Amino acid sequence: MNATTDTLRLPQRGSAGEHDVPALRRPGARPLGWLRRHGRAALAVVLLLVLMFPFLWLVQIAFRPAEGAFDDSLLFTPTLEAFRALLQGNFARSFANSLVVSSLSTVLSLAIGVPAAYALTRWRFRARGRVALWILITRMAPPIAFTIPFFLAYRWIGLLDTVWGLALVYLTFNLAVVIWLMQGFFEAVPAALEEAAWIDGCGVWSAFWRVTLPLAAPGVAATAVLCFIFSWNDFFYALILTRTHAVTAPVAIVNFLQYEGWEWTKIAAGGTLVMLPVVAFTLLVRKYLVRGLTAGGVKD
Amino acid sequence: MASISLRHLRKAYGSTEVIHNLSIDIRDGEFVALVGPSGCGKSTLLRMVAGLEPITAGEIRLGDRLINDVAPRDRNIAMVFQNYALYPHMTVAQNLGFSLKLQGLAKAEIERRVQAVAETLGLSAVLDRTPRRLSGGQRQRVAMGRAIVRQPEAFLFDEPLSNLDAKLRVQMRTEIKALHQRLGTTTLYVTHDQVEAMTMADRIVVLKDGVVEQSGVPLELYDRPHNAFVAGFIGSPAMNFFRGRVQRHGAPAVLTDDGLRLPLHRLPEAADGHEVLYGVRPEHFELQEGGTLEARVVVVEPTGAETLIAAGLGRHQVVAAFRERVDAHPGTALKLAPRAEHVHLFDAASGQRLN
Amino acid sequence: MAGSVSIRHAASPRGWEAERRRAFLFGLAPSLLILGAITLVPAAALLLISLTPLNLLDPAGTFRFDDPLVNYRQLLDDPRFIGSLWVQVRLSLSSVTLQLALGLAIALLLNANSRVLAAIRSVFLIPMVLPPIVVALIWKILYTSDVSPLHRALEQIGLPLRSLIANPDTALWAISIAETWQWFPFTMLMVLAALQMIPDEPLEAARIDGANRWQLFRYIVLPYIRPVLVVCALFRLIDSFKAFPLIYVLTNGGPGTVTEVTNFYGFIQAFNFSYWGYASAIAVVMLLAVLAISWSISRFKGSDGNERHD
Repeated sequence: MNATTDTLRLPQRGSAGEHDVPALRRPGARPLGWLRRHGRAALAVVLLLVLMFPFLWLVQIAFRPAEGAFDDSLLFTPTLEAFRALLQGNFARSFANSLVVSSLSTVLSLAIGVPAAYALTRWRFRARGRVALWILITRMAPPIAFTIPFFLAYRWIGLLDTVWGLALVYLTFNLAVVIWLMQGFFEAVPAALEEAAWIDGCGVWSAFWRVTLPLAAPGVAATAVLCFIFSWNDFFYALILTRTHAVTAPVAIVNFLQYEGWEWTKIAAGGTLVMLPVVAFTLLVRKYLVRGLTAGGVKD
Repeated sequence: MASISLRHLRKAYGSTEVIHNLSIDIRDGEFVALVGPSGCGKSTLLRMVAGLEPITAGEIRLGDRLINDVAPRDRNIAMVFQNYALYPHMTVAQNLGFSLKLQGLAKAEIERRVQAVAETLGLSAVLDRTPRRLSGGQRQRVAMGRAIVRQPEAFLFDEPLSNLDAKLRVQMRTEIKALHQRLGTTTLYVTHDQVEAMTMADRIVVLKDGVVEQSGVPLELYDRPHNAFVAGFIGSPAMNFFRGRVQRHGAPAVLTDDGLRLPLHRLPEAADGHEVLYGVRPEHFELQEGGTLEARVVVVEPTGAETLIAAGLGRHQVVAAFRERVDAHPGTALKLAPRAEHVHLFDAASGQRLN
Repeated sequence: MAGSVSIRHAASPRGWEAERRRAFLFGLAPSLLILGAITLVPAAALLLISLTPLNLLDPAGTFRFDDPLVNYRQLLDDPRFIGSLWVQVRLSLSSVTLQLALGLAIALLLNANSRVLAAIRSVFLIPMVLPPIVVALIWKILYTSDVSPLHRALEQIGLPLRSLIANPDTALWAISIAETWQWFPFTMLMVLAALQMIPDEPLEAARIDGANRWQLFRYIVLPYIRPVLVVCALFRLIDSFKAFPLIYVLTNGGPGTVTEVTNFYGFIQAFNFSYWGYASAIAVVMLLAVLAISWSISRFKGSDGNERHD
């Protein structure tokens, strides 16, 4: 009775090029072999440079001196004069507005949406599918459909051109995202932990606060970042519902295009500044991007 | 400490009834094991006592208190979950002290109690670790420690040992039983493993499809099962069953379709020709030279303490257990005789005991 | 089910069960109320306004319901509106197709285990998360012939090109390209996620059977990712209705009305001409379109989600 175990080594799925290599150990085939092994990565890098060129081009303009914005020379001494000029004007204020509105909207959305998400997760009731559809629709509705009634209402109540007014409008899409995302995160926490907490002496929300929420904290963080990004990036609502007090950064840049003449370096500097928080945050939460962008549509 | 009494308990999910008019009384300080095959409703029952499942009808009393609608936190019971349900973001010490913190006890008191329990269970060295860095056995002990530290009126165990490997299971069984003897707290213990039930419980309740099949002291269930289900469920290896008809004239016996003549000790209260199930435990076979029952050995399993022999008897498959070493090989013939005074007779249709 | 409460329970819950139900309601109610207030109420108001010829230059006088369908009738006769629908369709179709193609191609390219590729995948996310206004600025620079490096490079090699966004024949394509650049990462991400979930066995079996790369793709990979591609397409389609910053900055709807999509037309009606009633009607039409597509997404995910992801 002799059992020999023979493991059949199947080639790795990801290394489609790799397992061809042994066959190529002929002299003279080396450059070709290198291409086969690294061709994919090489092509990807080339594509990266091509596709990121527009983005990089904008950023490099921001560091050029104003007169030589479009000189042919690719080498130049970077200067921060565009940024300085930018911050001397009203731009800093709009940047601050963006920060305040985005943070406010994020906090509001989380405060209202997180408990709702928890209730939806643990309380199975029949209308769940319809709620999901509602969430999807609120995410997808064209802003024009909401701006008209909101503009008129705000004019009436006096919320036009205010930070609170804008933050409230952002709830239309952020609340849905919070509820959708946090449901997924809460589902990952075993209900048995909450039951143990109930037996140990907790009520429903006490168990939620002490057990469920700490365990879902990374999810809360990721959701918060996504809400921040969506709020920060908004253009349309800010364009319509603000004038001078609550102007946010994306709208302020456009004012440069229209009123202050075409100072390209300042525009580029403005664009670079506006994109910075978003790009930084994105790298942090890239795992959850797809979930956030498909809220209501795709079950994770 | 208190007694637990379940009266006319019913549980239904929508229109499906899962627990039917069940009544069980657990005395103060008793260790009762609730056993049954999966789906029999034992976990559901336990969760109803804990307050995690709503009751459709009936009463649950803890001592004198009616606790039907009482929140789990106010029932003064503690539960050990199958997957332990330890709080992953807390240390062992925090897990153990969580309920005390919620009660509002002073920090010094909490620490004292946690230390005491940790020492009892051998967890003093790991108090600062999180559950992730504990072994299976340690996690199990933390789960128990969490229950013990509260000094509740009753313990509820939901298959706590099923996630452990065999050796650890045996060890923990003894520890839990020793703990019960020390603390004397009323315990309701759910398991699907009847060996656990037999070795640990003061009393066993066998459950099937939401109905109590039998409840009693372990040896009583073993020696005098009330019906065929309990007879086949309790005891390992399981009882051997033969289907046949009663023969009253001549020496009382049961005749099977394949011509086996199984002896009876005395006349049963059944008519001649009545269809019955004849049950013999593996250890109640003896080797009889010149006996009429000839079995063909299929497999011999020497466990050291006893020899288990699986054999074919007529068209039946039987398992016999012998204390002494038996000289048998696959294919040889063996003359078996059931010890008639240890035979169990059940009505073939209802499964009820006849003798 | 652990921890669940069936609300079809016959007896009315007391004690703990009642407490639980109250707790859940308490958590859910604020969201539902607020969502209702900021979505359903405005939607109803929108509908209401669309039934009036409301004009902010004379709000009191124009807020009347004597001819509720006046705006909708006008829409049917409005060549600019019909034109905007046509522009929208062309933009959406071209842009979404290009996004899917580019996103799919790049996803296939990057679907391998390597740290270089993983880093590249992260960098490719940038166009999608940039504030749309920044995307618009980027392409404004690229499309303005005096300042664009592309135009000047072409000039150097003797192929001068007129500005794409000033040319009515190419303006819409210019926007389509910009939008493709912005959103291809979305498809890329979703397809990558789907590719990761394809089990190894069918691929290995096919390889052993002698399938080449194209056959592998066509017969094994494609069926697997087709549902994802469809969901992607639907999502991007709806999002494409919202396209605003690009058009606002690049062409302002022009030259003429060549790049004036329906959303933009509504914007002009409301904020240039102050015809709010009319603009509301346009918005209602768009909302209905979004509703229809959203509903088909939820139906699609329901039916296909069951057979695929088990």
